[in-house]
Amino acid sequence: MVKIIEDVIDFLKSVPPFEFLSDEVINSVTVKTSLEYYPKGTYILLQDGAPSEFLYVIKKGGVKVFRRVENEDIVIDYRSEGDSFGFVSLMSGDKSRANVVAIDDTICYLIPKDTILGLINKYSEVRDFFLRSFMNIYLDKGYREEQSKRSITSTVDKILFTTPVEDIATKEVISVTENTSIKEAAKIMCENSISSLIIMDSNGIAVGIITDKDLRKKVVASARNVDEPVKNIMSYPIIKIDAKDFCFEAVVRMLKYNIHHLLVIKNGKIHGIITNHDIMMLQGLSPITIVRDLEIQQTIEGLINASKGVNIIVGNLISQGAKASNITRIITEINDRIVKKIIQFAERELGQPPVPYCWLALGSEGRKEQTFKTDQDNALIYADPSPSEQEAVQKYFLEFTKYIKESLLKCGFPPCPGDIMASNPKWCQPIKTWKKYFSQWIYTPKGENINLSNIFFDFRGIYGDLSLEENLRDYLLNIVKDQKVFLGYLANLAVRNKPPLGFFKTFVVEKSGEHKDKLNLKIKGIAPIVDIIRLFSLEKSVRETSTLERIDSLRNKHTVVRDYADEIIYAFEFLMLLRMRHQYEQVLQGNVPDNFIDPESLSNLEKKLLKDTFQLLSKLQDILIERYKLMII
Amino acid sequence: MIKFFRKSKEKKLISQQMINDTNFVVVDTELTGLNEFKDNIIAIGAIKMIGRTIKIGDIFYRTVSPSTKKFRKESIMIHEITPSELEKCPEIKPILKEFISFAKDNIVVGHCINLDISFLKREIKSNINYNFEPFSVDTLLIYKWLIKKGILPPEFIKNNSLENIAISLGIEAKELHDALSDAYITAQIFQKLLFYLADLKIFNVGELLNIACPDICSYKNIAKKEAYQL
Repeated sequence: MVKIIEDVIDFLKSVPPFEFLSDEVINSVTVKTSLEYYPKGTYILLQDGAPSEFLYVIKKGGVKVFRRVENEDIVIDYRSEGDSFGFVSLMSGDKSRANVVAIDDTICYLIPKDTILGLINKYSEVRDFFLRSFMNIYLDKGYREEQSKRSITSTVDKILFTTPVEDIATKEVISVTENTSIKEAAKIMCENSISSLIIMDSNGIAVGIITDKDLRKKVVASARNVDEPVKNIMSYPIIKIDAKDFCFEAVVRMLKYNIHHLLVIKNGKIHGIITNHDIMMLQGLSPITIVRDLEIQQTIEGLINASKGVNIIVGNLISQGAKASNITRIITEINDRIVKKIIQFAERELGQPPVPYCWLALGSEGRKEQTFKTDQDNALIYADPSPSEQEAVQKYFLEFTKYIKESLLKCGFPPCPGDIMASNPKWCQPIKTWKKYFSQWIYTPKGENINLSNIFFDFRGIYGDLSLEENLRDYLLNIVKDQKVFLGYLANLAVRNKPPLGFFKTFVVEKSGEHKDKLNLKIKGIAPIVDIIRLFSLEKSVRETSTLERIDSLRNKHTVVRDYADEIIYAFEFLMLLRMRHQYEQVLQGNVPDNFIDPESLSNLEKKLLKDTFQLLSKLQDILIERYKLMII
Repeated sequence: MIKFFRKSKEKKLISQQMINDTNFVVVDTELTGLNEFKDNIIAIGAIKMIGRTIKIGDIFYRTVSPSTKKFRKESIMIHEITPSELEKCPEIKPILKEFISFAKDNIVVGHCINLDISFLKREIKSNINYNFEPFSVDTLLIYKWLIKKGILPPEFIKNNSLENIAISLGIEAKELHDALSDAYITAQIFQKLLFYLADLKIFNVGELLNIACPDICSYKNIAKKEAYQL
């Protein structure tokens, strides 16, 4: 191939969205491309000028994108090598919305409009990239449908190919010697409610297996004497599979030997058994099966087992490209069931509560935005008791909440380090006390009170008498909406963490310590969005607690949200997904999930989207500062 | 006489064109040596420009089997094309035809372009009996002219080679010496030089030709030799 074309191809290959395309396709783009040089100070596109006829990809140098409004320049963006501009005007055919000026001697590749439109029509990756990164109005329904179809058809296969046998194998293997009687073996199987038994020879080597099927066919149906040794009816040789093999391999072996049980071997030793039932369960490992499984449990131990599949489900959903909001919704659903179940157990153990109560989830759990198992954040409201029963009621609920806290811990939810839990007497109170708390925080918005309101005002009733929750929310929304000073404090908190973008959009990361050179996604990205949306919700008396539901509800109520809703939703989904993927990797490696990502580990596309997200955030913070000028300290 | 008349009429027409709307073809040839009478073309590289826009896909690159087997060691070293590689190359005739239809009547641009043109002219005349007499622009002449005008710094006067000129203008010149890469670099040089001319309010082709059309008679091959730093 010709050297100069090759150079362009190499360059485009490192630039989204071209990085997704084959060399052949990039080549077809390259031959349509021109090279332009713009000395420093050249205006490349003019605000309100002719629509862009090209996508400009910066090869060298940099540009400033800005709008001039009432004799004032508002910088929208700086773009540098590998970035592009001119897309929106090219797509819409509208006049350019901003000026683009070279701030350095700049060389651009110009890709003609028709070529770009062709790519968008043909390659979903390209369409996806442009539609997303330019936070757009063009996202159409057809495209989304196509995406969801794609993920449904491949689900089952993906699980089979990605789940190792050991993840779903039954670990307890019960074995008997080959001379054990059939009667004895059947008894052992019944007692342990297992469908198979491993048969060992005198040297302790697994030589065969007996299953329900063997008992039916070779014993009952053929009227065999049950005092015979099991070796007479066992199936052999026993087929083995390595613990690290994927389930798909297990399916292949079962089909090949026409059997339903495989012995799982790990490091040369018997590790467990995998059955076709396990595989079926795996394929049916949907949130629904887990929830159903949770429902029938009657003990904490049962719950612990039944909730084990959650991480696998999350992993599968991530690899299938599910939206973060769908994943958190499922996690919320499952976690809510666990909490409800535990509360039911508590009622069973301690007797019915003396007065109606409502269990509240707070923080991320309240917002339905939990990812992997996180700290317990909860509280309890109960109906105001008469003075005479006050003491007894309090005593009951303290015992009640202690039981729940400990059970949640057993199920893998660590206690809240700040002790914001219903088991803390302070957060287990009658509704009149809660109202007092809320009014105190709002009327005297000082340090700790502001932090508490950020956690508690996302409360969501999970179990019990939900009218108590409603009552408390009515009270809160009623008193908070005109409290400008309090809202100003919240605004102040929401703009405290500036998005980490310096000039030319290099990431500002942690400067020292364990997380040196890492970016804290939660503090720098997710929390500011959550905080801003919470503030708007309190302003406009929105009852929803999840960030996305709040945005939807605010669309018609709040001018800022009306203008930016789609962009905020997209940015939020993106940040959540990034965090979830990061945490899932940590979980797989057996580490404790955290919020620190390494920007260098991101793909070019992810970097680009992250930058776009932070720009949006910065814009929102500026709007907030403008609106709450007087209150921002 | 008729030919001369036609040419001058064409010149009048083309001179009134705006540079920005004009089609250029930037050309570089690889030669067996610099002797116009003995040496031959072994490769032609060309890239199109419209005004200052370089059309990356609009390129021409062909290696040819030279009519003379004689090879100069130094030109092998320059172009890194070995005689055995050239043996495999096709004949020059069809390639020259292709080149003519590629270049059409575009203004030919190049670094010391008169040398390339004189070789092309001779080969085209002797192989396919066609008079190749395009208008041409020499980037080296524009460069020297801009130095004389004080637009480019006086110390640039020592630069003659394509590589040094490219470097002085901040253009990457890592892949020098195959004909197409050289043409591409020349195109980028031309692109930048046109901006300097625009700053001097030089917008039409007539003015450009006055500055940069090499006078073939008075032009000495020494310039090209210097340019190649032989």
